[in-house]
Amino acid sequence: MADRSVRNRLLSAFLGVSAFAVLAAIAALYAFSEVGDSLERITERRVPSALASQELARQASRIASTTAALLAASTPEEQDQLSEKIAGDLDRLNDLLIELKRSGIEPAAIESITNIVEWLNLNLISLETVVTSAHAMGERKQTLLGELAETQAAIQRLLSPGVLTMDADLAQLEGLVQGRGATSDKRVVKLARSVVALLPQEKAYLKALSINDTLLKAVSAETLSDLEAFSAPLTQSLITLQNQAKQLHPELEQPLLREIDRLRTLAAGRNSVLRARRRELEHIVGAERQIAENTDLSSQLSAAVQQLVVGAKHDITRAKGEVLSVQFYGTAILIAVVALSLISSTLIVWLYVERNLIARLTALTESTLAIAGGDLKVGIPADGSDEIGRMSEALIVFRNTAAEVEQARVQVTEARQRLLDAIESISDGFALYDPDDRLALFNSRYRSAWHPVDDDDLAVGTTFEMIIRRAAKRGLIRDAEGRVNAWVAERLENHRNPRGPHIQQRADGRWIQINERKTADGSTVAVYTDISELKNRETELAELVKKLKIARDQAMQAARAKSTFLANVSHELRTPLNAIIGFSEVLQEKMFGELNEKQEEYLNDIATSGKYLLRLINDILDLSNIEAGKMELEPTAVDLRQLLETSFVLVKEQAGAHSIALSLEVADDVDSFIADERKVKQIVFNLLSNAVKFTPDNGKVGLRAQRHNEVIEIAVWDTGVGITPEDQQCIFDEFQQVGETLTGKPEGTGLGLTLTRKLVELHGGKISVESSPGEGSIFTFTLPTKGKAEFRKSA
Amino acid sequence: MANARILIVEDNPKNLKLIRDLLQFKGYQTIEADSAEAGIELAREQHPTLILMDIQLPGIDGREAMKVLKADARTQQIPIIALTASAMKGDRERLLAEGFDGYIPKPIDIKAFPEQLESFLSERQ
Repeated sequence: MADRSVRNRLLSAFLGVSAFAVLAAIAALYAFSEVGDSLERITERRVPSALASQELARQASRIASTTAALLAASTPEEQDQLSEKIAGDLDRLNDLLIELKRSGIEPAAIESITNIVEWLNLNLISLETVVTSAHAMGERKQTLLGELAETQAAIQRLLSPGVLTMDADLAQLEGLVQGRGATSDKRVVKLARSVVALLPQEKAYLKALSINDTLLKAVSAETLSDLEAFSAPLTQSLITLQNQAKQLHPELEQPLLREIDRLRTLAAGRNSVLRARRRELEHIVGAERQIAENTDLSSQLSAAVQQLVVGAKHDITRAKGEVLSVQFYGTAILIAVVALSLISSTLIVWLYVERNLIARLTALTESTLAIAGGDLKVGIPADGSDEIGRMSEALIVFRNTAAEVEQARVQVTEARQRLLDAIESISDGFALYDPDDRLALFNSRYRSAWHPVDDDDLAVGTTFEMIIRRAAKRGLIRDAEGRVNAWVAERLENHRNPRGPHIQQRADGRWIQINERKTADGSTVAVYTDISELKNRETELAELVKKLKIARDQAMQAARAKSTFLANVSHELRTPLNAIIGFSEVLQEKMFGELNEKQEEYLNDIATSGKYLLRLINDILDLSNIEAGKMELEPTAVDLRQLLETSFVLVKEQAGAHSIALSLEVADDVDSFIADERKVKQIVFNLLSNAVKFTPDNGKVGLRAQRHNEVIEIAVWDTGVGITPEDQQCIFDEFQQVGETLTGKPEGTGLGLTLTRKLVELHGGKISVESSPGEGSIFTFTLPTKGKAEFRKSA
Repeated sequence: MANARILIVEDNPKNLKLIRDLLQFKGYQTIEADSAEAGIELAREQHPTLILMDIQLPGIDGREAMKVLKADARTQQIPIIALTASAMKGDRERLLAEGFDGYIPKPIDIKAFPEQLESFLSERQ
């Protein structure tokens, strides 16, 4: 089978291994693909979105911090600058959000972020409003503070000269008090009066300074409560100041009161510094709240982003896990495939290459070496139908051929030895002359045939001519006596062109038959047979044959003569019998008139005698025919039962005349068989009529027929006169009639039982008799149902 | 066939007489010859219905006579029965093979003989 060839097997094996490689490649590709997918997921989706959201968070916190700075902005320019920055940052934030949305992240995941950013947007708008308001109020406050400063300056201008004077008076007074010069009470008093007069002025001055300080402090109040704390004392101070002002010189009082009114306006009421500060603080609080909200939103955003980042990190971790898993499974599959590939390769190498190829090739090699070493009985593994299998078959053929050649060689050697042994052991002399007619091979009888005495000249290599010439010269050949050269020439001619056996008489009287034949290569094979005895026998035999021929011719002549004689006797007897019987019957038929009793009786005697004579002739002829081998069976299917019944009818009349009871017993298994019907009837009739003839009146005659396998046995019995043992010996011989008929005269021809026996034997059967004189006889004969009666010719 | 004319060729006068008397008794016409030559002559002249021919005859025998008659256009239609004492085995077959139309061995059965002739003649018609 071609599909089991080594080529196809190896191809299958390599295809298998390659399939593993392909599987490994597929597994690797799958792993790479999975890793790639995961990386793509991470890099394309999660990472950008995470980055974007982180950027978003940073942007938000940047906005939050910028907004904090916004509040701290001291100038509108600075505020505008910050606002622009915030607007830019906000745009950037919105862009980032759009970018984040575009990054493929789930909308649900960034919904909170979107909301927060939305809030942030709104918050920033309101923050800007608040901050603008706060700044506007700050500016208003500064304006009011300017007014305050002016008012304060005005008050100082009013009051400071008095204060300065009083300070100087005090200094002088102090000096006077300490006595350093000419002291004058008047002056002291004057000085004291001047100081006392100037003291309210100084009080007002200090009060105004205090109020100014308080207002300045209130303007710097950080909280509304702090601010409110200033309100009541300030009002009290103003009242005090007003009261102090009224104690001053009217020249001072009036301008001072005007200034105090201005102070009151700045300290309380719609355009007060306190109110401005309050409004400013209120805006700042609002802004701070917004900022706090912003920060909070920023934190929320950060948290949301953090969540996203965490999600992204989680995704990344998961993706990493997947990648690791894929890597693990990919690696595992690869290892498995590689392992399988290695195992299958190993198995292929071990199972197939090692066991199937190498082992078989090794076995073949060993077998080949064994054959080469001469072991032609070595077993050759002849399995498989592949190339190696065919190699095995070829080796088997080679071995068998070698074995046959070896066997043939042995046979040739043995045959040669056998041939030599055979040649040596044959009773004849044997010699082989080569194509140059030199003696090549001979046996010891050849030597003795030629050379009855010792003769060492007869050796391989001697020429044929030399051998015969020497023999002729020695006078060993009778025919060569006196004519050696002529004889040698004749003998050589005969030897070179053999024409059948050649007989030679030796001088010692022996006859040698020389049979020479040419072989295919021109050699001559010569066989020397001592036929002296044969020659003598031949002579005797020839004489004997001559005698036998004469005897045979005589016998044949006699047989012919007998036959002719019998025919003539038959003819010559039948001719008168024709007249005797014919005329008798004509008369018996009373064709020509009635006859008297005596005439009739005599006529019966004549006719009976004539018929007896005729039966005698027929019996003799039958016997003669049987003995001459001329009688042949005419086989037909014989219904034996019917045949026996017909035979009984024939003897019925005769039996009836003597009141002899007839009985016929035919066994059931006796039926039709092959025989000569007429002759069987003749046998049965002969025996039955004999039995009736030799049985006294009122006796019994019977026939029993039964079958024993292939043989039918028929016994004819009677209660007749019987036969003595001596007579039983010869009862079947010709012309022997024993016993006496009841009438006392011989009625048989003496040939009946002889003929009966011959007819039974002709069928291949046997006949015998048992009898006791005075009691009766039983004649038993057998007939084979097949085979023997096959119509064999009578012996 | 009472008017059938039967030629009897028989050299033995007793046998000739037996056959002739028997046939005449049975109502046949008979003509006789004691030799083959005479028989042939009679057959040519009288054209018998049937010839009963003995075999062993003086001069030419019955078989030769039969051949002559069978070779002669005038007589070849006449059936010839061999009536002979040559009753050895094979005689019947040999004679029938040579050209005889029937064979009756001697001694004759005087009861059967006329019946044999009668049936032969009726077959021939």
